[in-house]
Amino acid sequence: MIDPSWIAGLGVILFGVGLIGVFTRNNAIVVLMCIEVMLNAANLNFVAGTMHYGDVDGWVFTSIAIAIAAAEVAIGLAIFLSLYSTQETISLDDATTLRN
Amino acid sequence: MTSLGQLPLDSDTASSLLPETMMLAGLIAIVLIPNLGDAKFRIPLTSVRVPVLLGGSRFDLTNDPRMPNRISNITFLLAFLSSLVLISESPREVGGVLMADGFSRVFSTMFLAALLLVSVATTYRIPAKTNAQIPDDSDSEAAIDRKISVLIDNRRQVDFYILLIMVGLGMSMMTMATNLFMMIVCIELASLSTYVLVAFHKESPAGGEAGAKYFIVGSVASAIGIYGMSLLYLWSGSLDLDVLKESWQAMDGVDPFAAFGIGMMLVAFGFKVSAAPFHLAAPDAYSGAASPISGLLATASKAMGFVALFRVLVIITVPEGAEALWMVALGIFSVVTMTWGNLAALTSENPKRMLAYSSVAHAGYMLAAIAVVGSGISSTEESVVILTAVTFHLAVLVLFKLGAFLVISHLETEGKGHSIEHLHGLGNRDPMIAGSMFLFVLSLAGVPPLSGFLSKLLMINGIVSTSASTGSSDTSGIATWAESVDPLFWLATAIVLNSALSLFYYLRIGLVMFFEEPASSKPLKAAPSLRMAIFACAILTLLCGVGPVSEWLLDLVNGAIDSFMHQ
Repeated sequence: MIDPSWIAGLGVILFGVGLIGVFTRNNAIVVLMCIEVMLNAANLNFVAGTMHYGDVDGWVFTSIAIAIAAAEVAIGLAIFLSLYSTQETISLDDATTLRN
Repeated sequence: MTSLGQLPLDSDTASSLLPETMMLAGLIAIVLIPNLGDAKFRIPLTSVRVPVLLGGSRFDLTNDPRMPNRISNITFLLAFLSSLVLISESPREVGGVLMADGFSRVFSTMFLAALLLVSVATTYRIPAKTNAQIPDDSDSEAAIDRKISVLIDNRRQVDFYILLIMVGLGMSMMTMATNLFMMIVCIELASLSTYVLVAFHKESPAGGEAGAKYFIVGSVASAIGIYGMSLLYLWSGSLDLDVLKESWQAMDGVDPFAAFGIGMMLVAFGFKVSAAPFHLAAPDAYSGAASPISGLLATASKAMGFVALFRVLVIITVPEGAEALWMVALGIFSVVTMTWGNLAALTSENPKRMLAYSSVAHAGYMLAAIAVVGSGISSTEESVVILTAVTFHLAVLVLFKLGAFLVISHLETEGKGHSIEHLHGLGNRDPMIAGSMFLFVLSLAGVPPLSGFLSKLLMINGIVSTSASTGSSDTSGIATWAESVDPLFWLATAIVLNSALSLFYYLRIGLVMFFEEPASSKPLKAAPSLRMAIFACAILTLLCGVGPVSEWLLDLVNGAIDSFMHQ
């Protein structure tokens, strides 16, 4: 049996990877992937908590958090598609019509 | 396993969740009613046809493109009224994760009022044409494009109002959540719908860009918030607010899990209230979205963030008579937020961006007030006064902030509104609308006797009466008093100075409306329901400043906050 603290530790690493990616990447879809990685880090924490405390709340949270992440991807990709069809870019730095 | 119970479906529960039930019914109605038709189902192997009413050729009455707007207006009106009635009901717990009490009902009434105004006002934002025609071969290319865009606008009516009702459902459930996970799920329901609403005009470059930016920043903030919540779960083993409160009070020293967890949740809620430095997407989102939606983001969405802050900061982490962990950080952030917002608004040439930055500044004022609650020097009574002021400010903000955005929306009906020049000479073109706009900006600036003045006065009064008594009572001079007074006093000073700063750009709007020549002196396009919404906002902005209506609203809010703090 893996100790829950290892699972939570993996969560910290994943969260760090996601956070760094969000701030350094420019492509909207890569940023979206990084957000998913961050959400999965939270899911690992919930699973580790369930193992440690021996109740099922964490599993419920995890499954609903996965559903939230799926909804977010669906909406995000649709929005990026409309951005691409009007501006022919999904780079967040190149889309600057609103600045002026 | 107590924190996630099951929803009991008895009549008492149903009556205390009446507004939410109505919105759910409205949601189902808005999907079904436009699809009613004369379709029949043939029972296999017979020639008997049973009408099923869904599909086939649609009935003229229910297929009217204005139908979704009407359904949404009725839904929000009924939900608003029932929520208003339920404010005085005794608190009722539902399923272990929801608590329908005065506090949550005051906020859900506020949200539903904002949504009702938006729903009424958007009738002319996305025009629905009853006489739309299908293009045929004899049309010119321009005519075909025009007819198709009319058809698309008609087709989209349903989408828009479905999303609007979803926002309402998420927001009003969120006010009742007593479990952090329930709270996040409801916030996500509301915010995922607002991402789509911001990007709703997907043919325009601005729509997609505003949506993409708002979506990225919003979902990063909520991912950080969910991670922070998972740390809190690791720390205490439950996400129930009461359990977390007990764990926090029993905590010896500061547990890093708890501190990081709360800090990360603050990032998520800081984005919702558009506090610096998480406000950077707000001006883009507000200027790219349709004005009523920007108004919704600046009022209801912001208030939703404040409900979450109340629940998390004030309920979980305020120790009895001692300074809360986050007090200094929140105080500094509040000053940065209000100053940044006002300075950026001063240099803005787009009225929507200006209003967006002014909404950032207002978030700063309210965060300053919350910082005082966390300082530990305010008694419970003083905390009640301060939080009442914040809630009252959020409530009246719905009137004059949303009202100002609706006036911009009126200009948008003729394709303008993204430059301050489009406001030039509005006083000549339409004195009533210009007068209302002037009223809204004065109220935003906090000029008596408007409601914006009353709420700001209450907030500053709360901060000063809490902190001024900490100064030395030595009569040797103002300098010794200023040195000895608690730093919180300077938060009140910062609010006053910032209000003075903000007067410049608010008055500039008034100035260009009445003293500049308009580019064209044509009257504005007719939009009766939009005008009705604007005038309702203007009249209520006046009434909530002085007189019986303001006292009634203040009593209502005060009672709710009082029970919230003493629960």
